[in-house]
Amino acid sequence: MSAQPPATFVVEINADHPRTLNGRELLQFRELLWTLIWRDIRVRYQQTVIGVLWVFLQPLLLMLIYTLVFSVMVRVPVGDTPYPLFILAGLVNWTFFSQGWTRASQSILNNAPLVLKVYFPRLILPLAAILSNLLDYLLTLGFTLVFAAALGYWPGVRTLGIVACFALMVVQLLGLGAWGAALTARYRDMNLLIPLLLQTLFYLTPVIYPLELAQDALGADLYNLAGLFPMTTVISGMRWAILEGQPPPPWPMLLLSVLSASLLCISGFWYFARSEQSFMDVL
Amino acid sequence: MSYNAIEVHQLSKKFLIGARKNRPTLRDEMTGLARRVRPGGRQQAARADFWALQEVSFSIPQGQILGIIGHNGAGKSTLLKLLSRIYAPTSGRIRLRGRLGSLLEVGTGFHPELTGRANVALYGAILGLSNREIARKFDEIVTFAEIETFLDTPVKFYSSGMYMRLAFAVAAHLDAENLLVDEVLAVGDVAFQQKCLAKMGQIARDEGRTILLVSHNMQAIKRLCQRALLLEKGRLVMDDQAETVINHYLQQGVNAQRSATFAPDEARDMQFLRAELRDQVDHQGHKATFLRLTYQVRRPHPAVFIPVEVRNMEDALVLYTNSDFLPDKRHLAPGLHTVELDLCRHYLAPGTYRVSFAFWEPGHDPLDFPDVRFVFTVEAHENLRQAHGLPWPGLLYDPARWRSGEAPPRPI
Repeated sequence: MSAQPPATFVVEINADHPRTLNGRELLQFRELLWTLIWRDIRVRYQQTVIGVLWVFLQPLLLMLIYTLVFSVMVRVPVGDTPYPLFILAGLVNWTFFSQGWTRASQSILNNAPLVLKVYFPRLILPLAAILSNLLDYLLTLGFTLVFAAALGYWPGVRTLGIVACFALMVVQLLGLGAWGAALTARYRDMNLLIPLLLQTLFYLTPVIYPLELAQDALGADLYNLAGLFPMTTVISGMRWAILEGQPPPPWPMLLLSVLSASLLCISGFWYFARSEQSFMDVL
Repeated sequence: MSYNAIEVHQLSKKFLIGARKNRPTLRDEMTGLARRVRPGGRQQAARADFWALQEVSFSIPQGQILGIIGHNGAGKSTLLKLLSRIYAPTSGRIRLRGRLGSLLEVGTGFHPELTGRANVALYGAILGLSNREIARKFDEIVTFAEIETFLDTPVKFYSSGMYMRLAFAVAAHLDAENLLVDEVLAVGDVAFQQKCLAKMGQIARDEGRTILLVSHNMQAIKRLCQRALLLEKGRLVMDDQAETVINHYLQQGVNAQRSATFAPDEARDMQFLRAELRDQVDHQGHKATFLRLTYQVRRPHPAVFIPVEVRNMEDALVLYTNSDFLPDKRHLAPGLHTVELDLCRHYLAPGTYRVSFAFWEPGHDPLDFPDVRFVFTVEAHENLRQAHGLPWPGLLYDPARWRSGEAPPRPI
């Protein structure tokens, strides 16, 4: 061991300069991020009898129920697309979003022992919570695409649009996840509020009905404002990218949702960094 | 040439007493907001500041093992949590050269559903090891922990000893240049404790790593550390050779109190007004010591109780009891009460003992936790038989249980 200090590892902690969000540090802890993601995935499917099959069973079951209600009992007009395909394309994305937000929001609280005992950038926890759903998401998304292709509704090159929609969804999730995690650590009320918000958002966003249906209800002026809600354009855009015959969301609405997602993400990170210091006192 | 691995300068940490107790709800914040907006609205009773650590400065040269001792609540854990960046300091600064691995509570971050193998990777990552480093040291870790056969068993089926050993093994194989170790030696069997001590000595000596060791085990500190710090009420009161500091710490019992009175404070829901240790000698000449507490309950709390601890001079908890053993809850109803407790002196090995008591509510800060130094001494000669002229080796002493043949047990 050399007597000279390794200069790269000097850490200064100074009360006059409180720490802020630090991208480089986040990068240093990426191994922890991967490990936490793996932990969440393994714990979720360990000791379940059918394991990963649950990933497919869940959306398929929901697809059947929604098809029964909104295609057989009530007829929601969805163009030429078969309703099971239509609802599956929406559900797969909605599930990633709702589970990601729920898990991210609880991440600080659920890992309280860790937060109280070990130092690491706390943002890793909501990040890991969101990313631990990624595997499930990719599997079900792939399944949906195969299903669409099998029925002859695969839209070709347009499928690449999934990447853009996914990026928008992740930005929204990061923002909401950061807000949710920091607020839940401080106010347990959030544990009750977030499921309620999700339920509301589920009906406000076009998961079970096509986006165009809202045009009649809202009128041409208000219609584009629907882009302010998270997931509105994501669901509609995803459906356009997954299924032949589904229209894309209008451009103004898309721009509006990119704007609102960016604001959500920036404000979320800002609030998280601000609260990070006081997690110790409220957990 | 050696350098300072850790430098701490004028470090202080302030807590708000009650900040944890009154966890804010949305409603609180909203009424608080309304109160702030409305002019002349009454402020809530101000929360008191509590300095857990005050203007502590020291530095540790690379390769040294530094012991930190002090009574409970002296600020030891706060110091380690500041060093490991879990708390942010209120003022002052810290400079760390080299990476820091902390072993604040062994096994933190273990997931009960995962196997030993998976947990090694998880815990390693939490402590800052990369996957490659863990893979490289995996066999070494498993051998040290002595859990080869249980590697693929979820750790929820582990015994506490196995759990402990695995956690320490991972931490001991960290690459970090500086290690913080808090009371890891309190658990595990004696053989493994010895192994841990030896391992710590070895990594400091051979690998030039710096170790900060917090322990109530004075033997361990004496054996491992050249130097020790003594903390008292958040202040650094002594920084010297380990032997000297330990002797000073153990001598503190000498300026002992046997009674204390406290000024009534209407703001407290429950408060001790007088406490004393009373000795009584029965007609056979046997001595008993009682703790008598007089206190006022102004506003009752449903879950509160009075725990009493008797610790020996190595700070080991010898006797714990609490007021739940009283037949009913009348002693916690509003009013003035006196309770008395026999401290079982005749069962204690010769030595000096410290008594502490509090009003405690699970999950909250203590309602009243007087800072007293109540001490009583069990003299060697008052127990009939000695360990052949040597100090009594156990914590307890009971002369009455031996039988031989059909003879009835001898009364105390």
